[in-house]
Amino acid sequence: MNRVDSRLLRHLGIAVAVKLAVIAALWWVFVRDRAVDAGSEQTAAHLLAPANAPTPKELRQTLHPTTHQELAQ
Amino acid sequence: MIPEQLVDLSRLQFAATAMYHFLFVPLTLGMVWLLVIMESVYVMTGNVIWKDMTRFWGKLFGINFALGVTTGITLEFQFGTNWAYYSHYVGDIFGAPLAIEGLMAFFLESTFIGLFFFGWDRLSRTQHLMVTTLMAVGTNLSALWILVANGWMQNPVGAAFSWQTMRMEMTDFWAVVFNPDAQAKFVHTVSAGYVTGAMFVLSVSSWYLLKGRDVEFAKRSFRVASAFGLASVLSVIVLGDESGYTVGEAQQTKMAAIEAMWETEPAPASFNLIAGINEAQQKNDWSVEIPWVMGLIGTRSVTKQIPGIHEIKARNRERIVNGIVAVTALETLRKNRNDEEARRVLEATKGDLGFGLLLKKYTADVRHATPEMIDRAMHDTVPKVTPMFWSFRVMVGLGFAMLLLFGLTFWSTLKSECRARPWLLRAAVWMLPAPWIACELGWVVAEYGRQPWTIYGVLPTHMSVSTLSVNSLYGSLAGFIGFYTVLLVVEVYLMQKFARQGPGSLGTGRYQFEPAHA
Repeated sequence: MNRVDSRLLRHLGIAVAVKLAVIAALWWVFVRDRAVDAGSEQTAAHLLAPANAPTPKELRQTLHPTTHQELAQ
Repeated sequence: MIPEQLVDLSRLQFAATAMYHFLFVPLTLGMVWLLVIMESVYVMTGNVIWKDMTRFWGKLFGINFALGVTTGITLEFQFGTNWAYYSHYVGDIFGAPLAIEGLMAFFLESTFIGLFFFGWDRLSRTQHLMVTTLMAVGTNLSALWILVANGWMQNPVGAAFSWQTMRMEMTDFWAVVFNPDAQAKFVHTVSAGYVTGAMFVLSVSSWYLLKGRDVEFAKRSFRVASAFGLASVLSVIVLGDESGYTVGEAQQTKMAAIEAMWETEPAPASFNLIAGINEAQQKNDWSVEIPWVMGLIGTRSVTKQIPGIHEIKARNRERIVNGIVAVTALETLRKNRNDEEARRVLEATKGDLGFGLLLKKYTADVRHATPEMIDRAMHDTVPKVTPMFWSFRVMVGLGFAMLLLFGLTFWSTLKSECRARPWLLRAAVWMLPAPWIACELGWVVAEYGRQPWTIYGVLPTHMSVSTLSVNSLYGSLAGFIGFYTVLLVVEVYLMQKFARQGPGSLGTGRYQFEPAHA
């Protein structure tokens, strides 16, 4: 390995080290304390209606009237 | 409901980091096979110029790898932070190929890259060639597993929804691996990477030939890049056609948007070469059409119809209405696990569950969705046509321009006339950015074209996003873009610096412009 290559290698090594440091810093500032708990209960709460859900039988009475008509067709 | 700004910022952040990441990836994918070819010739002939070529182009490959490595890590941060519900909903399937990629392919690639650079004086010729080949295999295996994961987002096979765990669960690992979308996407993407590597070597070699420096070195590099580039660009076009066919099978909305095909045409459909798209009135004001071509590309037949956007939207409206029933049955089951009727209803309608969730963008409770809300959700099911239409056409146009270029350069090498046509060499230099632009536009077509879904037909994008603060997203977005821009500037600086130095930077005493201190 010649001197040019050694210097390039040193620079690339520094670049990778700086990158890892920046990524770690970004993680520290923006990610570390922002864990989102997304288990099955949380996902259900996120995706589904928070209010008491009706049974499929009750659904027909609770649907928006026009939507109800479309469903009936 | 999730604020639109939060969804848009999360999408922008992921798109920006993914697009920066993919500036580095295709060059790595392509150059590594050029190194294998050059080193194979060295091992077979013993001619040291081929070893110098492997070492010189390997140095540029190393710069690209060193600056590109870890740029994908931030995407994985984002799965956890910005897309937590997505991660829960599909982590069982999506996580598996990502984990295999990290454990197998990335470590294989990284280990052999180290051996490639430090093994020249420690390994025999054949052993070193084996190392280079395994480095290429590792690099391409990385791409395979990532694209298996991405292919599943486009066509979610081998999985089923579990209402108990509220997520998709894998039912058939091999169906996920051999998903036709993933396989077509893999071969198309790596071929595009090969074109990028070939174009890079061709452009730099052409520049040396124009300057009349290191001519023998440049001519050989030019020859290898021309042949490899021609084979690769032909593969990209053929495999892109296959990729288009799989899209037509699994993602009709994407296909219709790419073609600005508003109405269902009699088979075989014509191909809109260019068109004046009128998004407001959902029609084309004018178009230049090629008869039959779209039908042949999209269906491989002259009798099958390709549905137009209006027909697809009408079908999707029915699925949204059906999805309301699915969501309601799911809500009931979550409340009372023993409700057999709700279980039966969910089983019958769960294929449309995702379509019901599309309404959550407009109402917290889908049961109270108005017809207007259903109409808006229906319109959402097809991405905007204009960016899809033109991104695809610029990508394809660049692909054919590169086919012409590689065809001409290959012909000139066969005639041993590399330097006889300076205009061709200048064209090769100016075409350097073309494969990167084509790759990025290809990803726009693939990912923007999947909207409004993160998992096509299963999970809407606006339901996948985490509930973060907008300020936090602005901050991390600025941090990522600043960081990646610096990396890109350093990459371009180092690449042009060492490309300008040429093979003289190897310090062998055989080339022009040897550095005095080498």
